[in-house]
Amino acid sequence: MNQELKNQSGSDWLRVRFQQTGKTHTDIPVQVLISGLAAVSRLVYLLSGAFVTERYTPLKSTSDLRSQFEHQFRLAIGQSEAGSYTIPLRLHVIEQDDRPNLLPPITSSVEPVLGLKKFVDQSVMLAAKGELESFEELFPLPSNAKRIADAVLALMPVSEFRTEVESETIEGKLLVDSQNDREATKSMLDKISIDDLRPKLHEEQLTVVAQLESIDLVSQTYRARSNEGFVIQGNTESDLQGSKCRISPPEVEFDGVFQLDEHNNIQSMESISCSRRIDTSPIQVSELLVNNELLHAKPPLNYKVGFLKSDSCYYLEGDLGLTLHAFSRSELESALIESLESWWLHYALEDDEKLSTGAQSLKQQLLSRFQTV
Amino acid sequence: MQSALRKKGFEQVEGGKYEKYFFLPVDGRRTEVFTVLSRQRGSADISKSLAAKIAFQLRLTNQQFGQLVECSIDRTAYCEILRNSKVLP
Repeated sequence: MNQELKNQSGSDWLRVRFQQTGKTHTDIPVQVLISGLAAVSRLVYLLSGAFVTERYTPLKSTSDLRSQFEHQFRLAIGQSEAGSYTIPLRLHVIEQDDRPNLLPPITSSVEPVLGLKKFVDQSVMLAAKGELESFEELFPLPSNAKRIADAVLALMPVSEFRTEVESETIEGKLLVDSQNDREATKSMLDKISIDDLRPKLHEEQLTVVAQLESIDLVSQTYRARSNEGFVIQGNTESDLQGSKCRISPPEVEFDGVFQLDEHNNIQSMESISCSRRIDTSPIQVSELLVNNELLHAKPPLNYKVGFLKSDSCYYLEGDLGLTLHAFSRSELESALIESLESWWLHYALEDDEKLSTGAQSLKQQLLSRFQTV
Repeated sequence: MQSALRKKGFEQVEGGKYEKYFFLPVDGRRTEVFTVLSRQRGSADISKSLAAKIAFQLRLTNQQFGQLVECSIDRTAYCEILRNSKVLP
């Protein structure tokens, strides 16, 4: 089946050629069409992209892109000829409401983008495999250039260097001093195992949460703004595609490297390494490993997870009266396990005479809930 | 906040990568009053919602929690609050 999307005389139409002889219909649901197309998501992007540029099309906040557009479009079939159809697209306008509109086209803005998603480690891996063409792809940020050069230096004998890798930034572009430097570095990266290099590139990462502000389905990019005011751009293809494209609530977690001030407050962003949607699914704990002893929770402990927009942080509450908060989902999960481990060590294994009455009660709850294997 | 907790006599235990744990001992015995603070963020202001959750861990009302952080409630007053709410005998 082939499809093409065109705009003729201000009217949108889609030509679809079926392999089998078509029958004359007045209407077909768009789902039928979509199910027959190989590149479903691509088509939806094309359709929505065309409408975004021509018309204002708010998305329901509780639906994903595909199902949203399935509801909006019914495709009336016009001329039929030997297995091909010309299908004018008819837009069913959905009711406006006060929920945030996620689909204004991204327009040029005077506001600088302070954080741009970069896959630093991935770039190094690609370079190690010889798949990067430009040195700028390898060293997207000057600070990364120095970091990677230091890591390479730590792994390679100095004699391998013809000249030290140096770089400078001119008008925002990273430049390398000489062709020799580039070749030398690439040559060295070829000889280094990425598994050896990765630990040396490891940096402490923080997580920030940002509100998804807009999605441009034509360029397949999105913009998000963190509570700290950083604007982050990402690519819908890698971050939000398919099942991950659900947009309610419109918040995304970003892991990245940040500059902190003396009070550990975020001052600026250096790079974004990973992004994912806010995940408030419950957490269940069925096992705990403390001092090489495996404990089984019967029944498993259950914790409800929520997200506080005002603080951009997760919280959980549940069994044993434990409540926690954390600034990322992974931190929350770690904090839960660590808290239970800490409780086991400081309450369950503690002598009664060192515990208050309430703490002894908590100790008994822990001992009754967890069984050693 | 960490400083305020230490001033109230909380015992600080270093956790893993992300957390610091604070236990409250009273009369030489560890009580069940316990809170966890993240290492990730510094002194940024917290909202009433988050403050309420930490206050709950410390067995305080929101107002009392504010006073505890400002240090207008000392350890003696804090323990008295815990006794009045039957957390401590």
